[in-house]
This record gives sequence, C-alpha cells and structure tokens, in this order.
Amino acid sequence: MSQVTLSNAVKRYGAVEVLHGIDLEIAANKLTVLLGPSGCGKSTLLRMIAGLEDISDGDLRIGDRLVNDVDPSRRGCAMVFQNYALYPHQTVFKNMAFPLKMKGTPKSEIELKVRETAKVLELEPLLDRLPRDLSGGQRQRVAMGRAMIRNPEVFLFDEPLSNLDAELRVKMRLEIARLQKELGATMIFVTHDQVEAMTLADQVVIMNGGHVQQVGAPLDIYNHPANRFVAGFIGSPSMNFLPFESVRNAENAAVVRLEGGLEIALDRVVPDTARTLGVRPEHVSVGGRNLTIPEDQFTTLGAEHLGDRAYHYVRLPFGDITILQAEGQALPQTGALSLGLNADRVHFFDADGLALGQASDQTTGTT
Amino acid sequence: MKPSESSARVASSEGTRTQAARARSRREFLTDLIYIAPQYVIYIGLQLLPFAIALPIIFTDQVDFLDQDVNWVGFDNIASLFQAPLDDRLYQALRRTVIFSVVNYLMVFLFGFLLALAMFELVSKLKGIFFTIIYMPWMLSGIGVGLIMVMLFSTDTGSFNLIVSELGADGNAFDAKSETTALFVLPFMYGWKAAGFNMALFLGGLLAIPTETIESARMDGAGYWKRVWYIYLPQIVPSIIIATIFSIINSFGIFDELVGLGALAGNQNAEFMSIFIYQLGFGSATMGGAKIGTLAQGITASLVIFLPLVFLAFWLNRLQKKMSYH
Amino acid sequence: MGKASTKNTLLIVVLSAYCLLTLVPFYILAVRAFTPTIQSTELHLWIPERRDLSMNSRIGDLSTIYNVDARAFRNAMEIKGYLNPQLKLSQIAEQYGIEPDRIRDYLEPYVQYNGIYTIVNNGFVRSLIATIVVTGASVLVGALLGIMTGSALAGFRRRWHMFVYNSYLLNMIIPPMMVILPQYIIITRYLGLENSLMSLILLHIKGGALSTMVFTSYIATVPRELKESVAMDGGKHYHYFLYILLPLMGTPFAVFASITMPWFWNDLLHALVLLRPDNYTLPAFVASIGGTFTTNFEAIFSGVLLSLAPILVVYLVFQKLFIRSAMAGAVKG
Repeated sequence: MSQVTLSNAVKRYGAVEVLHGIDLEIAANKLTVLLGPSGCGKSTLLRMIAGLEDISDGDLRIGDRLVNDVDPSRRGCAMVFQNYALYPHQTVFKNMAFPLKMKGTPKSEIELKVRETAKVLELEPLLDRLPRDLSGGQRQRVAMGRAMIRNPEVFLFDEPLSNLDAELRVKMRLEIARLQKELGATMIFVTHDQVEAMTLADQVVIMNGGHVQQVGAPLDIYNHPANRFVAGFIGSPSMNFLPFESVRNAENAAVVRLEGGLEIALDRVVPDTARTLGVRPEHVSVGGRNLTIPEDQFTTLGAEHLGDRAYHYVRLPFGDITILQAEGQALPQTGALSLGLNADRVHFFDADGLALGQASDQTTGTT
Repeated sequence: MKPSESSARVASSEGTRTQAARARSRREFLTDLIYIAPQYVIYIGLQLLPFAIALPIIFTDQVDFLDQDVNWVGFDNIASLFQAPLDDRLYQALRRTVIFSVVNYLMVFLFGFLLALAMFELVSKLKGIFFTIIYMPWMLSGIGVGLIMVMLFSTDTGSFNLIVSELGADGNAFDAKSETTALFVLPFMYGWKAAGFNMALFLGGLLAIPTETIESARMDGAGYWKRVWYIYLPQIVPSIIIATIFSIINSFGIFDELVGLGALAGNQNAEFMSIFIYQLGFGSATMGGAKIGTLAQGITASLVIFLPLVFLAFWLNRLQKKMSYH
Repeated sequence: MGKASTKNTLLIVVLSAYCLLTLVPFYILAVRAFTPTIQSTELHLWIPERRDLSMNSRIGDLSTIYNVDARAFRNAMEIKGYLNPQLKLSQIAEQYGIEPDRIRDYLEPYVQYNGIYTIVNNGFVRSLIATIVVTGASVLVGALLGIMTGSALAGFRRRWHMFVYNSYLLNMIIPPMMVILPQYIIITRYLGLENSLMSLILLHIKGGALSTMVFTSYIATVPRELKESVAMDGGKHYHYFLYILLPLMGTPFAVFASITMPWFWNDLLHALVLLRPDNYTLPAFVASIGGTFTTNFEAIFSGVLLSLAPILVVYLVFQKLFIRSAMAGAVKG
C-alpha cells in the first residue's frame, strides 16, 4: 500500500485556476478525508489523483511513482462514485467482474475472485440481480466490491454516502471503517459532511477555495483550528466570533473591548495582534462573570431544543451568538445577561483570520 | 552555474508536461473523429457536396445526365425559366404550389391543433385507442394517399362520388384529376394523413404547459377559448414553429401524392414545383413524362425556388430556440 | 361536475366520430382491393360476391378485364401460333385438346383474386423484400452511426462538437427535391451505385439530423461516471461503446426507429430516381402499377393495401412505442 503525495499541484480550466498549488501528503494505509464546502475543489483533487482530470502543474506521486501522465487504469487506484456508476444492464456479478475482464483475467479466476469478494461484502445472494433491483446500501456495497476486486493500492471515494438515508449512512460508515481496518488500505474519502469526516477519518484535510486549510487528526482540528475558516466550518452550530477593538493585557489577565463598547474580562493573556475572539457554543455558560450585557443591549432570537440540550440564539450589538444550555435551563427573562467563557477554550484570530497560539501555549509560553 | 541548471530542468519538465497533455488531447480528438466521421462524411458527401456540384451546372447547357457536350451559358438558364415555353408551366406550378401550401398550413391547425386540444381536455380510458387510430394514416405512403384519392374521387368510379350519387345528388361531385382536387382536396387528405403527427407535436407542447398557469387563469375568470388564446397558444409557440417548418418543407416538396394523382402520367393539373423540377431532370428517363427542358434548368429551378425556403426555415428554427420558455 | 362530464362526453363523441371517419378510407381500400374492376362503377360497401369462371367466357374478354397475359396463357397451355381472342374457353379446350380443368386452374386465380394475383405476378414479393432490406438496413446502420456520433458529441466538450451538431440541423430544412438532381450525379457517376439498394440506404442514413439529435440528447443523460469507471477499470473508448453504451440505447433506438421507419418504408422519390423497375421498392412498385395497369383498379388498390399491411402490423404491435416517441420528439423539438 502506498502513500499519495502532491507537490504544488495546480488545476486550471482555461484561464480559471481552481486548485492553487496543493502540497499534501496522504498517509499510507490510513483513511484520509477531504472535507470542505461544495466548490472547494475537493472532488477535483480526488479526480486528479484518479487520473480523470489532468494535472495542469506540479507533481503527483503514488508510492514513489510519478503518475502525472499515467493512464487512470495504471495508477493502481479504484474509485467508488457518488452515484456508484454501476452498469445498469449488467448483473452484480458482471459489474464486479468488469475490471478483471478488461484486464484479460481468465474466466475461472474471475469467478473465484468475484465470489470471494462477494462473500466479504455479503453480496453472494445478489450476484444475479440487476442494479435496479438492489437497495441503496446494496448498490453501495457492489460499487465497493467492484473497487476491491482489483486489489488497488489506493481507494478513492467520491461522496459515496450522500445518496443514502440517514440510518443507512451510519451503517455504511461503520462498514467502510471496518473494511479499511481489514484491508489496511490507503483510502481517500471526499465529503462535505463533517460528521462523516470526524467519525471516519484518521486524517482530515480541510479545503476551501482551492487551498488546503488544515491537515490533521479530527479532534486536533476541532480543538486547534488553524484559521477562522476551519474554526467556523468544523462544529455545528458554528463557533461564535466576537470582533473586538482593543485589548488591555495585565499579569495573567486581560480585558477585551468589543466593538460596541462591551468588555470581556479574561483570566489569560491575549495576543497583541488578535482581532477576533472565537468561542464554541458549548464553552459559553450563562451566569458567568466574563461578560455582562445590560438588559437593553440584547434580544433573544429563539432556541433550538434537541431534547437533552438546547441552543439559544442571542442578538448582541456586535452580532449574534449561540449558547449551549442543558435542557430546562432558560436564559434570564429580565435584567442583564452575564456570560462565562471557558478561558482555555477561547480562540484568537488575527486580522487575516489566522489562529494565534492556543490558550494552553499562551499561559505557559508567553515571552 | 547552479541557478541556470535548475531553471533548465524546470523548463524541460514543463516541456514534457505540455507535450504529454497535448498528446492526450490529440488522442481524445482522434477518438472523437473516429466516432463522428463515418456519419459526417456521408452527410457532407450527399447533402452539402450536391450544392457544390449544382452551382456550376446552373451556368451550363447540360441537357441530361449523359450529356457530353457542355457549354457555359451564363445566366441564360435563370432567364429561360421566365421565358416561353417554360415560363407558363413554371408560373402555373408555382401558383399551385403556393395555394396548396397555404391551404395545407391551415389543415395543420384544423386537424392537428384541434385534435390535440380535444385529446388534452379528454379524460378517458379511450385516449390510447383514439391516439392509435388518429396516428394510423401516418403509416400510409404518399403514393398511397394519392391513389386513395383516385379511389374516392374519380369520376364514375370513385367511391365518394358513388355515395353522393346514391344519396341522389349530382353524380360526379369530384374529379380526382381536376385542379380543384389537387389544390383543396389534397391538402385535406394530407391533413388527415399528418393529423396524428401534428397532434403529437401540439399535444407535446400542451402537456409541457405548467398546469398552475391554466388553473390561475381559471381563477381569474378566463373562459375556455380565452384560455386557449391567452394561455395555451403563447406557450406552445415552439411547437407551432416546428409544425410550421415541417409544413412548409413538406408542402413545397410534395411529390408522392401527386404521382398518385397521375402527375407523371400526364395530369397537368397536378403539376406542382417538385413535379416540374423532376420533369426537367428525369423527364425523358421515366414513365410517361416528356422532356420539357434541360437538366441545368431543373437544377436552376430547384435552387431558385427552394433556397428562399431554406433561409425561411433556418430563421424559423432560430426563432423557435429563442421562443422556448421551458 | 355535471358540466365537466358533459364536456367529456361531447369530446368522446366527437373523437369517436373522427376516428370512425379516419377508418373509412382504410375500409373502402380493403373493399376495393377485392372488387373486380368491372364492378367499380357500382358502390360497394362490402366485398362483392364473385362469379365463378365460366367456360363460356371469351379469352379476349378475360385479357381485357383481368389483364390475363395472352402469350403467357398460350405458353402455359402449350398452344402454338395465333390464338383467336374470340374463342370461348370451352372451344379452346376442344380445339387444342386441353383438359378444361387445366384451363380453369390456370385462369381461376385471375378471376377470384385478380388484384393480388396481378401484383404478385408482377414483382410485389421482390419489392417487398427490397423494401424490408432497405428499411431495416437504414434504421440499423443509421442508429449505429447516430450512436457513434452521439457518444462523441454528448456533453459538447469542445466547441467544434457544437458546430458539427448544428450543421446536422441544416439537413432538416433542405427539401429533398432541392438536392435530388446533384445527388443523383454523385451516386451514379462518382459512387457507381446506379440501380443499387445501397444508394437508397446511403441517402436515408445521410440525414443525420434526427439520429444525432435523439442519441446525443439521450447519451447526455447517461452518467459520465460510467465512462470514467470504465476508464479506471482499464477499458478503452470502444469498450465503453460496445459493453456499456450500446446495451443502454434501447429507449432512444425505439424513438429513432418509430419515427424513421414510416419515412424509409414509404420513400418514393429516391426509389423512383435511383432504381430501375427490377429493383423497385414498394412505393415505386405501387407507382408503377398505377402507371402500367391504369385500368385495373383491383390491382392498384391491392398494391396500396399490401404495401401498407406490413408497416401497419408493425405499428399496431408497437403502437405504444410509436406514440410515446412521437410525443417525446415533440417535446424536445
């Protein structure tokens, strides 16, 4: 099994550049998820690796091999498409046998391999059916079987779960994870669904606007987003961003003056170049003492009740914020609203949106 | 030395890259060509090349396909079409063709549109059977339609005439060989033959109308024929244009039905433009017809008459693309 | 409610009446195809009863009424020399020593089924086969070429694809009569295809407009992932074409075939121009009996009926496909 390396990979359609010099190392034998909003270039990147799109500039290596100009079928990649791309007039057996048939594998061997693969995927009773007689999950498994049967070095998945209903999606997610462990294969998985990314991935690659934003393990990315985009994209509901005007640092404490005049008192030092404070809804608590908002400066916009917890939306002079509360705890109806922020979990971003040293580093490592 | 070396390496790798990309796109181009060429070569050879061949012949005195002694005559052919002895036949043929085309165009709506409206409003299990029967005459050959007209409208032996006289009226109400038949009964029969085809065209357009617009017009109090005029017709303009193109091309080119009426066997009343051109080109070669002019004149006539039609159809085609709402 | 159902009833009545009227010419055609020409001045709404062959009828009368070829009759009866047309059949039997039953057997079909007998004896079967060959080959080859073109054009990946596509539309608006004379020159002089069914097939498949439109638009709906999947599995374009695309073309083929079949089957102009009588397809054959047997209505109408019958059967068997295709073509324009 091989790693996939991109160096300065560029994709242009005519004069329009959609991928701007991607440098990326995709680890061997791991499941890597390419995550980003639609139009961010993640599918293009995957199709470039597959060989379905040309590489306009830069290098692509699979293992040690430079494969820029190698035919898609010789790259050792197999792909599972979003709509599965099953051949509608061929039975499950023939669909799975097709790659081997193209390779000129003898009939007896094809038979053997298809049955073997079908067994792994529990497709044996379905081998004589046509794709239209299969359920969504079964089609998905046939598509994976067709990919597996070639013993590829790299598996490519292009949003393979997006056509399934919620329940089946969870099931197939687990199955893909299990297969990955069993086969120990390199897998690259494209999705726009962060839950899929968080639960499946060994490594997440976050993309936006044709750039790689951050690469890392799922929890790392959640806890230490590299920039404002990643911070806002990962986590639902989104992180609260509070833009501020100035900051007064003291010994292990700081006062942040928000746009509009409100002030937040923090038990930590704030980097000088910071311009925005970010905090996730779950790290804001009602009744704290970091931020007090007078009665006439906020309005409650409503709440989403999820059973065990509720998200409350509040409009402040500088924007809206979301607060996570346990179910049954309401916001105060009268008087000022005072909020507490978990100082260790507060993020700071500079004027360009780059994250500035994390809270934990900050307290120990300030010079 | 170092910087120049590395820049040279970059340049060469860039060179191979564009080369590979070019090779790939050349391969793709070749594949496309292999799949497109067979049909396109036939198309060019038999549809566009004829124009190239036709043009020089217009300016010669080529008598028929075997004529070896060919001379340049300039614009004489065009002039000769409008001089004796050809001019009279040309004018007559043109007059008949134009009258026929106008009546024939009315039949498109009389049959096709009204039937489509009826089928559109009808809620019944019989719909399928109706459609099958209405579309059935489309299977008839043009020559068949012409001969059926002979069968129905011939003097003394035509079934229709016999029915009329059975009912006590004048025995020979129709004459299959008369000009009236060719100009007014033939379009009726053609409308009958093409009824299913045109109905399908209009019905396709009607079914594409969003039902909300019809319902909202109803809520606004528009009566049925008001709805047809203000809601249906404007939204099926593309279908109307297609039917118009078909009707124009088919009317001006009508040939088979006329052969059935004996146009090649001496029935001058059925001599329309297409028969006139055919007589010029093949007159001596086939049955009945006599040579009335030269091949060059035939080709000239076909270009002079049909070229404006091609432009008209081309314009209508573009109009249709523009008028499509959906 | 009441108003709506009244309207519906009215529509059913009107449409039923129209359908009945539509069927009338077909019915009369069927009757006249079996009505002896000699009775054609009387109105027949049902196939009239035939008189049996009378041995008292004169051979000359049979020749004029039933188009019996006197020379063929003489040959069949092994009569040498001149045969007096005034002779009655019984006299011929006596005079030349021929069994009366032999004469009866020979002449009976002329009297009983004169129309069909005449056209079958004059090359109907040959024309039928020629028509089947031409129509079948035109539809199949035309579809194959259309699918090939569509497989390259679908999606319009390059600007010149659009140009090729649009140039086919020109074919729809050029009247056949306009180019038939130069086409004749190309086919006979440069391709040497005089009096060949091949020339007819070529002229049918050259009209790539419909096939290109139908197949290109349908292939554009085939997910491109199928093609990419084949590429990833190591297949070339022809693998994709043969194994994946062709088997999926059932629906557009039905559309193409049901629209073009009546055109190809009934094409008179090209057959008349490019073929000689020994190779005539059915429309030209019908035109030629209309010309040769101008007075034998029974033969003419039998010809029309019999040349209509095969395609009518195909239409009635596949009527659902025909109707759906007509509508689909209409919606697409």
